[in-house]
This record gives sequence, C-alpha cells and structure tokens, in this order.
Amino acid sequence: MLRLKNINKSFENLEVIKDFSLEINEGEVICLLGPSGCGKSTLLKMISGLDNKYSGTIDGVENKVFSYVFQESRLLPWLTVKDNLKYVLEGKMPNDKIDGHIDSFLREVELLDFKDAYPNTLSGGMKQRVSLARAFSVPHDILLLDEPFQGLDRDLKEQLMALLEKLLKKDDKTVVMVTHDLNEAFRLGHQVIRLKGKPIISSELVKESE
Amino acid sequence: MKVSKIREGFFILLFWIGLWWIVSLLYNNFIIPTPLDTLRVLFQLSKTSATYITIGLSLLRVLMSLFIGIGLGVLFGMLAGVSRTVRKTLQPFVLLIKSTPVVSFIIILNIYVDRELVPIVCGILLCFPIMYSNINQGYRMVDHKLIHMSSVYQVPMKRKIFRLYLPSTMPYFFAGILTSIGICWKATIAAEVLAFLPKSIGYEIFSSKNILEYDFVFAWTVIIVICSLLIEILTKQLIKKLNYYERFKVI
Repeated sequence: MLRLKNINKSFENLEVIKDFSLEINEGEVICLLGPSGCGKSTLLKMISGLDNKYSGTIDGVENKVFSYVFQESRLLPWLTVKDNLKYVLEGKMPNDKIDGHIDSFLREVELLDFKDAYPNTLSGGMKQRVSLARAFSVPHDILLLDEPFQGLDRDLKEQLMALLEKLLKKDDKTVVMVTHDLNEAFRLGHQVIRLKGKPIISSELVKESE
Repeated sequence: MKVSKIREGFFILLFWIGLWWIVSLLYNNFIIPTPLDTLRVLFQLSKTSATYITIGLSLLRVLMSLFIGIGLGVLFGMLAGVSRTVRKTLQPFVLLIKSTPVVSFIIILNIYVDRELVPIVCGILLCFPIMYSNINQGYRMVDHKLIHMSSVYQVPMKRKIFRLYLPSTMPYFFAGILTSIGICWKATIAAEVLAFLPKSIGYEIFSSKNILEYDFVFAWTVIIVICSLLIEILTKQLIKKLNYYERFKVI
C-alpha cells in the first residue's frame, strides 16, 4: 500500500499542500481529481521522488520502480523512437530481448513503422503514444500518469484514452493518474479521489452517480 | 537557386574588389597595392614550394591550437557543468584570459615559452575560454524535463552523459568551433609576427612590410583569408552532414 502521511508542501510563500494524507491500494488505478494548478502534479513528483522538498512521509515507495507519463512526451530529440525506448530500457532486461520488447510495445501503440523516426517528425499525439509505450515497456511497480492528454484535441484524446484503457487492462500494477477531467477519471480509474481545498488539505472518494 | 546565389556572391565580391581598386588608385598604389598587383604576387608565390611549406606550417599551428584548445575547453566545460567547485575555481582564470589583450599574451609568452610554441599556446589560450564557456552554458541549458524523465526511469549516469548531456551541448559545441576558427587564425598569425617565427605566414607578412613589399603583405593576407574561409566552409559542411540542428528544430 502507498501511504502519504501529513504531507506539507510550499513553493516559497505559497502553500500548496497542507497536512494531507492519502492511502492507495496496490494494483489499483487511482485517479486524483482536482482543478488545474491545485498541486496534483506536485503530489506525483513527490511520490516518484522527483520532489523531496516537503515534510511528512510517503511509505510504500521504497525500492519501487516507477514509470511516468508526463504532460509532454519528454523524448530525446536526437534519438529515434526506438532509441528513446532503449534509453530507459537498457540494463533493465537482457540486451538480446530489448529490440523484440520495444517492437511489441510500438506495435501496441501502432507506431512500429515509425521506430526509426525522430521525434520532430511525429505529431503531438504520436509523441504521446511513444511516451505511453515507453512507460508501459519499462518493468515497473508503480505507474504515474500526469494529465497525459492535456493539450490534445478531442478526437486525439479519445484515441489515446482508448489506447491507455487497453494498456491498463494488461498492466496489473498500481497506477496513480492525475486529471481535472471527471469523465477521463471515471473511464480509466478504479477509484476517483477528489483533492479538496486550496492548499490541498483532504480528499474524498467520488461516486460515478455524482 | 544555387546559380543565382553564386552570381549574387560574385557581384558582391566584384563590388568590394572594385572599391579596393579605386582606393589604391586614388591613394597610392605603392602604399595600397591594386588587386591586380596582389593577384600577380599571389601567382608568383604559388609557383614556389616555400610558400606551401609556410602555409602548411602556419596551418598546422592553427589546427594544433584549435584541437588542443577545443579539447581542453570541452573537458573543463563539462567538469564545470558538473561541479560548482570546478566552475568557481576556473572562473577567475577564464575571466583573466578573456580580458587580457592578445598582444599582452604574445609578449608574455615570448618571455617564457619557446618561440616555436608561442603561436600554438596563444591560439590555445584564445580558443579555450570560448569553448569552455559554450560547453558550460550548453551543459547548464540541458532541458530539466529530460533530466527529470531520466531520473524517474533510473537511467545510469554514464548513459545520461553520452545520450543526454553531450548531445544537448552539441549546438553550443559547434558554435564554439566556428567562433574559435576565426579567432585562432588571427591569434596565431599575430603571434607568428611578434615571435618573428621563420617559416610562418606572420613572419612573411612582417618581413615583407620591413622591406616595403606591400604587395606581398596584401598577398599573404589574402592567403590567410582564403585558408580561414576554407576551414570554416569545411567545418560547416561537416556539421551539416551530421544533421544535428535538424533534430533540434522541435523539442
């Protein structure tokens, strides 16, 4: 179980999270819901260890391996799609298995034909699909998704959501996704948790009937 | 497209040569030789093997300064990027080199260094801060989002250096090389003049000036310009072949 206990976080004089606690069960897809700029992404950064300037404790992350889908694709522009995946995969599985592993995930996101393409030749949606392939291809314990569809048009968002739904069904790991879209949260999450207050002080379970 | 560009370049060159010609005719074509006189001397020089040896040796000095200066600049630039201590320790030294006039360097070096080495050391001292600053800046400009992504995925440091940091600094590296080439030529030739180094372009210019052969001074200057341009064009072509900038268009 992932446990956040009495978390406090400020940016200079701005308090974004105050005495916040949350428990997340293993193997569940949890969607954290909240308006833009409320500190949802900061929570993910703290869980992943990217941000450790906070008070309180986060239990259940020791020795855990993370995968992360950021708001932007964060691909290395000088590496091909395949090499971008290799960049994070090398050392995590036998070298002779990496190429086949990458191919299977690129096939999954329908980008196998683009494995030798550079990111600047891909559209925004394609780049985000590469980012999804990267996150799912890396052996992980916890997957963090930080508003992965932000900035995409409706059709593309729908297409990517379907893809993510498909990938999540095959992945039985703990998933924490932050979003401000209620429909997105209910479609993908086992549980939807609304972050309350500004600064965030508590959370509540949201029912679909709401 | 290419033909029109060549034509355009040709007419611009013609304009400046015409201007040079007019000035030399108006002033005194002994003091300012005409382009034709210069061309005649160039033709004369091209027939002697000593000219090529002189050019070759000066070129060798320039290339040696460039390679060593660039190498040291890259090495310390990277170290300064990684370590604040290295950056702070080197800061006064780099500042000192940057603000010292080239002539002071050459004269100081003439006192303590073998004169054969003066142009090379002088070139190194001028290339080093350019490369150092560029690489250091490039290293510090690496996209933090990519660094964060690499941290989450626990990418080992060695792989990060070779696939994230080094490629990120490439545009700064190439810009540093192109700036260094021009500066290195100027510094090396100036050092050859002041060190009065035989078998060097600087020596030829200085001795021609002393015996009032101004057309030779101009011809050797033209040779320097041509060599510098050739190296710069070759380097630009090499960079273009690497196709690096294309990949940086959209990040």
